[in-house]
Amino acid sequence: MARVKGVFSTLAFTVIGIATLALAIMLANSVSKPEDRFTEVKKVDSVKELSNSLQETLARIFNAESNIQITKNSNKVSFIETLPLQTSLDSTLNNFQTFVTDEIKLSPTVNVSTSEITNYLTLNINPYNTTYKHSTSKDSIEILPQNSSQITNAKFEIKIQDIISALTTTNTLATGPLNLEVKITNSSGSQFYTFTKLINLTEDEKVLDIKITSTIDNKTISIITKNKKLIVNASQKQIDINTTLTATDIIDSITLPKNSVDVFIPSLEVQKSGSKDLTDSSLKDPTIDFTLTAYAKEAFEEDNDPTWNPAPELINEDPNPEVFITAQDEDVTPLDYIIFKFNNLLLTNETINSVKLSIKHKDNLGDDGELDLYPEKRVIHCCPLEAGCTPDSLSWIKIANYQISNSWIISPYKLEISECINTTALANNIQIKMIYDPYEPAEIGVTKGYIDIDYVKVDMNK
Amino acid sequence: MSKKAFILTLDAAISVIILLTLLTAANSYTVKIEKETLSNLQLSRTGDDTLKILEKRSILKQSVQESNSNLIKDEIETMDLPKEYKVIIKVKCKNTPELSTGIVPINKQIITSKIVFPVIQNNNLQDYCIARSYIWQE
Repeated sequence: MARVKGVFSTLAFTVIGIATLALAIMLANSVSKPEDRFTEVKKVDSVKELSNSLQETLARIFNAESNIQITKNSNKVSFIETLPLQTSLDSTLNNFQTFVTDEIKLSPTVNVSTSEITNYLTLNINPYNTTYKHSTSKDSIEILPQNSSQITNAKFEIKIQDIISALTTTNTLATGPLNLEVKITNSSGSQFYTFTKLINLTEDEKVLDIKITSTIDNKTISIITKNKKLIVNASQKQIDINTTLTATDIIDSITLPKNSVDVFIPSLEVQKSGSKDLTDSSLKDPTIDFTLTAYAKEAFEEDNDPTWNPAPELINEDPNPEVFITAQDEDVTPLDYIIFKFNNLLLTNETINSVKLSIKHKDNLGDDGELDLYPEKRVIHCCPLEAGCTPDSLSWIKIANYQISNSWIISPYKLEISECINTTALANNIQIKMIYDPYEPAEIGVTKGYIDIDYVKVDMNK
Repeated sequence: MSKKAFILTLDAAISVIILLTLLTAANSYTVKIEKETLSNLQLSRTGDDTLKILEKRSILKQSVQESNSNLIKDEIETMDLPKEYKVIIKVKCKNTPELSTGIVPINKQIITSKIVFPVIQNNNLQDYCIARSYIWQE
């Protein structure tokens, strides 16, 4: 009996001992594991937050510095840029990479890889595995769809600004007509599409528009802007290209290469890489858009007679104005003109999005009652120089012809002149020249009709 | 015989009491540790969120542009954080002087967070910076 009790007691003590030991182990684990767990959760949080902020920063730097304007709408995306692309993105991203690497030395490990961006400015069109990229010299673009059936159409609008200036930089093609070639080639380099046009180096040929709509049935389409005829000087802005791609379904995002930002902790096998949607409005610099209106503060004819200074009548927007300005065609010179100088808007470093000009006028047809059919007799010019233009200077840029009319007309209605007025300095000193010469032929010393102007104003969105 | 049975029963009862006491003590200790972990996590995420709010409200950018750390201080005061939470923000940029809203104590358990942000004005990149938050409980 005593032996049974002894065994029982031994068993009981053993069970209690094991239970106590188990509790001790549980306690020890309880002390260490939560601290480890917090550390792990904290590290995962750090990777996520740091990676997100790096991706957003890269996207915002790209939007600010790339000089590529991207617009996404449902199943279409447009890229607008000027080739050769002039951007400070290379040096900025290299410096940014160095800064981040120097500042974040300890965990987590940060790898900012910018070579694909700086070398090729590669953009991914998701989810179609399609890339929009540049040559290293940034003078051509390539579109590489991995699955051609998903990107159905590519439309290219190529606008060459100031061909004469581009050609004269070569010192060999200063004058005379010539063939301009723009080529689109496929991935193997063979010709896919060629556009040629005989160009006369006259004032009217300064801007060339080429619209190409093409089906992508090959892997690569390249627009080569360097060719035998047009050598583009990299220091000049020459060719505007608007590329619109159409997909079969919704385009989710346009991103930088996904490996651009890689944040990881090797010991925990935690990693986060990726890239933000460049078209996300929250990643664009928030700007306050508002409109300013400038009125002509001063206006005068080419012979200063009459001189309208000041000219409050110019701002009268009465639909049937009784007070207005009359400029007479005195036929003293072949072409008469009025120059309007606008008030200083006191802009500093704002970005100007749009400048729209409107002029309200009517033309008196005079005794002969015949309309002048020569368009060069009714032209609106804009001064592109910050210092202003002298009246007979060749610097004036032709904006458009205006419509002649013997009743009040706002013509041309809301004419966009932001190609001429594109800096705050220019916006602070807008000069517009309006050529008028209602009748033909002119007779020296005889007044032949006139132009009445109610107002000239500029609406500016910045 | 009944005496022996009583002693055995008493022995078992005492064992059970000791066991229960140990279990209770162990459990309360575990719960306390869990609470501390949650508290640290909340503190850490408050630091993350503070940085994100300052960035999204353009306070960090504005502070860098004006070299004025008081803008950050004022904004943090409007956030209505728990009174025992103390936060210091430091901003280091590529081109502009470093900003700090205070001195980080050395005798506290400090939890840090960091984000990267650009300084862009009118679509012109002016600078890029790293903002660090240092948060602790008093």
